[in-house]
Amino acid sequence: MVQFASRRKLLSFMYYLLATLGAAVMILPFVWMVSTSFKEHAFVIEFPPRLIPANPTLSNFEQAWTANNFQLYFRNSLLVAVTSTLLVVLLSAMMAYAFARFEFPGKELIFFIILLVLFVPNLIGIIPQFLLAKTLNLRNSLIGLVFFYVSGSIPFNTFLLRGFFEALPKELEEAVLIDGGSYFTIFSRMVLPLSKPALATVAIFSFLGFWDEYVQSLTFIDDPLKRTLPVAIASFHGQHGTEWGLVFAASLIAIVPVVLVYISLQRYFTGGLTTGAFKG
Amino acid sequence: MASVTYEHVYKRFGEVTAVNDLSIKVEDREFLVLVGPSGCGKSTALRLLAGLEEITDGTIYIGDRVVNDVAPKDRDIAMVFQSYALYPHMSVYDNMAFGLKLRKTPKDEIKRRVEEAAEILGIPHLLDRKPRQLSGGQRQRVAVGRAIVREPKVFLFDEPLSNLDAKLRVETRANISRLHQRLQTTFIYVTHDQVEAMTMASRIAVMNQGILQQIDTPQNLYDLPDNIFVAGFIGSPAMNFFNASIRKDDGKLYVDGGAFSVKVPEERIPTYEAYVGKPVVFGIRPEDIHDPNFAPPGIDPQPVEANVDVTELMGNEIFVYLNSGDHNYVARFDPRTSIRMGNNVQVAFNMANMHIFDRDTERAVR
Repeated sequence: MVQFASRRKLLSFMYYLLATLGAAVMILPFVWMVSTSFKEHAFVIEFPPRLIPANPTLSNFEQAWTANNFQLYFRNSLLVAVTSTLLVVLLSAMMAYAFARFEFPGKELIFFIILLVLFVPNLIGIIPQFLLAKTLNLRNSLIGLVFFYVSGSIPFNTFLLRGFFEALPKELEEAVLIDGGSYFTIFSRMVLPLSKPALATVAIFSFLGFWDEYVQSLTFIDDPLKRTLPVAIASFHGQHGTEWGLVFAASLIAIVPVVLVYISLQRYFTGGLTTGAFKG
Repeated sequence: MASVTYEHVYKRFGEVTAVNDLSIKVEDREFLVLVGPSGCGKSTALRLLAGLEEITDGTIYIGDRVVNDVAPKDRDIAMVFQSYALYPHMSVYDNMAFGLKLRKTPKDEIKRRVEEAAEILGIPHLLDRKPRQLSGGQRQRVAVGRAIVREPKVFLFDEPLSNLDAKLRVETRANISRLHQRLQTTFIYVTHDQVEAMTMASRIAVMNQGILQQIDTPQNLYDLPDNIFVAGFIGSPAMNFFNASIRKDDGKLYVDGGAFSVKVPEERIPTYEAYVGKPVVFGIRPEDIHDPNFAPPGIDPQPVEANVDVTELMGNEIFVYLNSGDHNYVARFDPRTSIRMGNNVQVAFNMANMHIFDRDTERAVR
């Protein structure tokens, strides 16, 4: 009995040890980033390394925020990410609802073609997209970026939302029809409010994706004034050396909107992960 | 207030004909119950009227207006769904007010109507709650309230009591009847429960396999069913059926069931004479089979030998499962009977209420 108890203790100790190690692997780089962002440039690479800076300073943040057009890039990123997220949520929801509830010729075929897009890695499309952007005069344009971001995210999110909408009780929609509503009333007054968890999931993941997106932004945008934050931060890596404190401070500032979005949508988001528990 | 007319209405889903040549005229202010087993097309018939399904063929009128191509919202109907379909994210008040808001009814008028409906249904204290905070019975009342406030020409009910427990169902049944009295509007009510149909309807339409079997008042349906299906569907326990033949002997007619032979009342002889020597289905309701000791006075009891298989005491009555030869049947006895399981007994058939059906067409012989 005693042996069994001590073995169980050992086992749980091992679990904790493994979990702690795993967490450390995940968290340490982030902690290091935070730590470095508070260090003067001279102390960034010191030996022995220090996790807590000897003379913490906010100068990296001040410099990152004020220099190198950072605020402009921040605004660009915010504009692109917010607009794209809103459009993706709206358009995917509308498409998903049509697929979930309406019967039209070729419905499943069209849906299948949309799903096919999911199987093509994004990078394969980058050259055709570049040519398309050029033809459509969408290069060096934030609207162009929004266009490609939105079109690229609609397939997956339509797929995700269709499943959710199909699970909503049909009688609710029939009740709206009899109560005097149109299909648009159903969509705006029933489907959208009842799908907050799913919509929040779409919104969070879309925003994260757009906010961090690098390759398309780098490819389509040459004009330094139209850059988005990931590209701008990457450009802080100098040819002759990198001011790591600055890069990390900028990256930390860049995380703020993501954290805010996550916190504000979190209560729906956790609901979204337990879709099955949702009851009409 | 309006009448409703189905004129040769068909609804097909691919190969399946859910509603087959349905013609019914529901009078203004009538309480019509559509009843039948599941899959008989009764709900589809209601949904066709609501505009939730498209008619394959035929015409539906509400009042004098053909509504085949009219959108549900323009049909001036309200519907109570089986699942209630309350809007989960809205309060009870908003659930009831939603239809009026969509129709741009003035705010104080909405308030007046919602409060009045809440008063009628006894739910004024629930107006601020969300549907998930309500019990089944309360939700059901909110669903009815949502229909009432609209003041529609026709109320449609699609099995609104099937999610309630037995006690609440009886209570709500009476409330819906009272509501019909009060509102004086046309009610069309779908159920698979013949007790609901019998207790509430001014007329009942019995459907089976998409076809209207019979439409009549509850009492007429019970006493004079047109065919074997209606006879078996209305009444609980169901009517007993025996394969039998009609025999003429000495100027009198007998129903010959092999193991028993019972005399046909004289006044029925002209009706059944044409069936002498032919196979028929003989039907008799459980309450027309008596323990001879408790047979009501004034009937002409026809004795039948039977073996008691099982008895089920209900308190106010006792169901006795009997067999005579190959025939198994049930009787509803006075609970004071001394008959017990395993007894060989003589029971009494009250032939005044007998039924004879043609075995080929299954139609009643009258």
